[in-house]
Amino acid sequence: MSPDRSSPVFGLTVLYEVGSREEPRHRAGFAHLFEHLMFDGTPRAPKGVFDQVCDASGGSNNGQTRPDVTVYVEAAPISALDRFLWLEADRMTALALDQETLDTERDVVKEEIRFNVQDDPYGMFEWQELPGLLFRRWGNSHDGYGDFTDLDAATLGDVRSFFETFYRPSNAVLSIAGDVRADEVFEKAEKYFGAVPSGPRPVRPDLEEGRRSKAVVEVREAPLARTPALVSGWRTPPRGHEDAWPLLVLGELLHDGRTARLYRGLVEGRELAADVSGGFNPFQGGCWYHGSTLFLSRIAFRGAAPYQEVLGALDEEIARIAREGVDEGELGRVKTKVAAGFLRSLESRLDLSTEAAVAVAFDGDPSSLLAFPERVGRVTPADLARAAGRWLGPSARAAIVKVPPGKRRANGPKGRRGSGSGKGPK
Amino acid sequence: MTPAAGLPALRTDRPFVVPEVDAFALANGLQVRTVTVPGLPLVTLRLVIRGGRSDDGPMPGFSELLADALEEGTTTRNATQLFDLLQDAGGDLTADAGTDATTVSAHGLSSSLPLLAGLVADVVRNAGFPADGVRRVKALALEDLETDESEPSFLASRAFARAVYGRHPYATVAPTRTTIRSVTRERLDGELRRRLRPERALLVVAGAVGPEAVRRAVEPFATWEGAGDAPELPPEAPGTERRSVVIVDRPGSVQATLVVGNVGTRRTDADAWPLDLAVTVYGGAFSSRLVQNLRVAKGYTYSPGAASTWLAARGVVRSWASVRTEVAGPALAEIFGEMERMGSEEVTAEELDRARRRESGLELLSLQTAAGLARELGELWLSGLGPGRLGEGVTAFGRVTAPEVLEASRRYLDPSRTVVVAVGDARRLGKALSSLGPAVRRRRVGSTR
Repeated sequence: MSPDRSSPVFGLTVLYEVGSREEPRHRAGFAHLFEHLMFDGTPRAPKGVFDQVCDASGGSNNGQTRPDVTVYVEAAPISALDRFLWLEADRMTALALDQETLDTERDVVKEEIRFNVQDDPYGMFEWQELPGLLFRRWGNSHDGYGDFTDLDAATLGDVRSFFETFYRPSNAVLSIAGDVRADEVFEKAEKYFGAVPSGPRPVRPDLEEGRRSKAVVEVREAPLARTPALVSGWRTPPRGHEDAWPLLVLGELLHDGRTARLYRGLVEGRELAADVSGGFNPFQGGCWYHGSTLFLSRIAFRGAAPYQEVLGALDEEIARIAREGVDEGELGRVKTKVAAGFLRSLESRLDLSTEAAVAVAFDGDPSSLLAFPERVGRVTPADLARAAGRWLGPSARAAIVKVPPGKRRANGPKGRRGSGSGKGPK
Repeated sequence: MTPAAGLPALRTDRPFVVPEVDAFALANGLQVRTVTVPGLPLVTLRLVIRGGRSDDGPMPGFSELLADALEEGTTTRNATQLFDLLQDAGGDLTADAGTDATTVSAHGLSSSLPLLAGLVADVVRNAGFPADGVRRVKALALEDLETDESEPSFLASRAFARAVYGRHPYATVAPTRTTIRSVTRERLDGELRRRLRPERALLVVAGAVGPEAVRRAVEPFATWEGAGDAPELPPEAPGTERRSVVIVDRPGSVQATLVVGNVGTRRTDADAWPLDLAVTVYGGAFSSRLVQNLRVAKGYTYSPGAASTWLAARGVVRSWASVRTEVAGPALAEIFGEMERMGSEEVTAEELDRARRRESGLELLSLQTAAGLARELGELWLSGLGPGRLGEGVTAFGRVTAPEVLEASRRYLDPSRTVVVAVGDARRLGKALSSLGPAVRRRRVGSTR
């Protein structure tokens, strides 16, 4: 709980410690489908009530399913705090689901996938396709949006069992920021959530995978695209490893804005790319992860450039850091920007409530959030060189190249596999 | 509302205390507003210059290229030096062309206010347009256009703007290839002086800074001046008086992307606020009729919605949905049906109250950050309204009545006077939309210059 009396509003986050990495096998996409069902009514507040109450209270809401957590967020004028607490406690207590609701919501989710993935020129390939190539364990490698077969197979029994296993108070964090006193909020939390039946805390599966030992590069046709793009991903070490913070800083140094090494090297400089993005833990951001996560670079490259040259240029930028490190001046500027960006992320009450919930989920302590700038500040040029060399080498990558129809010939045959640095096929 | 036993009532609202705004003007006409937001040591600067795509006339989309080229450095600092300084201030700078305005924004740590103000002034006064930067801006604009043309939402917006605005300058949403190729350093420089001038501009500074510090920091703007004749404002956009259908062919498309609408209002029009509430009840909120119908009841689409925009020469009212192609016909029929219903009977008291509370609540939420306050002060100024109107949205919706909502709906949500754009696989789409009659034009992707 973080009080801020400067504006008569609040932000509220309920975070459940379950995401797509933990959904059951043969149910790819289930955690996300379940998130939708959380808005579809309870025995006390039937379908439609949640959104009507939200709108009628001047609020906004959303849900997000990430690999390790699912968050439900609301922001509204402070007059609506009690009813949002009631609504969240109510749907933590029980859902009222029938077959028709499940079927309709399944259709909506399929439309979401058609909209965001199938009709997208690149099929959101950095999210949807890269993990399958980069990782081996199902929890890490499957598509969290799900395929239609798995979605079709989902039953009301699956919904009940997922709810009973993961959607318990013992597995949840409630966080509020805004125009209210701390003691008031803790009292209200007790009042509304105190009686919600709890259960054992689910055991988190081991999803560790070490660094890849072999590179893999696949060229895939993108029938709806008109310009090529590629993504290169690497596995990263577990949370708490000495290279984790350096990799986070490297992500910013390589990708963030006009000062980014990849912007200056590939968009300016070599003029191979139209756009670069990516970084450490890109699907969740910052410190939102359990175990290990990934690092990626996504490059929209200029039509005439062969992909091998683009990957080679990416490797060269990373190798230069591994070889020479980074000068203190540049690293200092990156740290300043990361620290200021962190402050900006706390500006809205809603974002602050979410970040605090995340800090509890992953570090067990909301104040760990405030250690962020200090942790970033401790990273040295030698740390960056070491982390780049250890984790982001060409031999540890998995890359996918998306090529528009008719532009394949210049870039090699479809489905070709090989190492990124042109050292021959695997 | 559907009953929910035990749901707590709303408590009393706490008043929104409108932050104090320090307003003054420089001798060259530049308006300056400061709003102090204590707390985090951050500051946002927003330089809003009247004229964006509205100024483009015979060079559709030129304003966007001008904005991009502003980020390529100045006569005193190249782009590398410029962005290194910004990074050191914990921030960034961007230039964007919109419909009615071009905006140069910078943000960073509040301790860097003088530096940030100096860099924004440098960019608009001394943009350098270096040869390699201009060449890259043009090359990237061509690449971006190529990429954008693969996106159904872009194709739909482009076709919709053309169909609604016709020959008006608002009819373009992105630079054309002809415009991109015609860009030269000389043209950029001439248009910069002509368009970006202090008497057409407002600078908003919002954050952990006081008015005195801002008055000192804006000193580099004092010598800013334009040259040549400033562009004229575009005439009022008439909108369409009939129903027309445009199909944009995107072979292989999995969905049909539908956009339906017509011109709307200015912010200062009498029916602006009533129309906003009408659109909220109709399709602007999750609990709205259209979303409940298309998504919740039928499961046709993940992404239905509606919105109205306010522009100086009249904005638009639009509905949209991306649906699987075989239900494009039924989805459009529902959209027309809901528009019709809005114009045939008054919204219920419960719907009106819900829409009022929603819109005023979201307004309140948008004003909780420095960036939100700066954006609203810029919007007010563009509409010719003073800083005293800051926060008016929190209360203005409460005064709108059901008959006013009905009247606005009849005028702006009339299914017989509307543009319908459908992007998708034309062969399958043509079949799905055959009930709309023969008034269908087909355009292929990329057919534009």
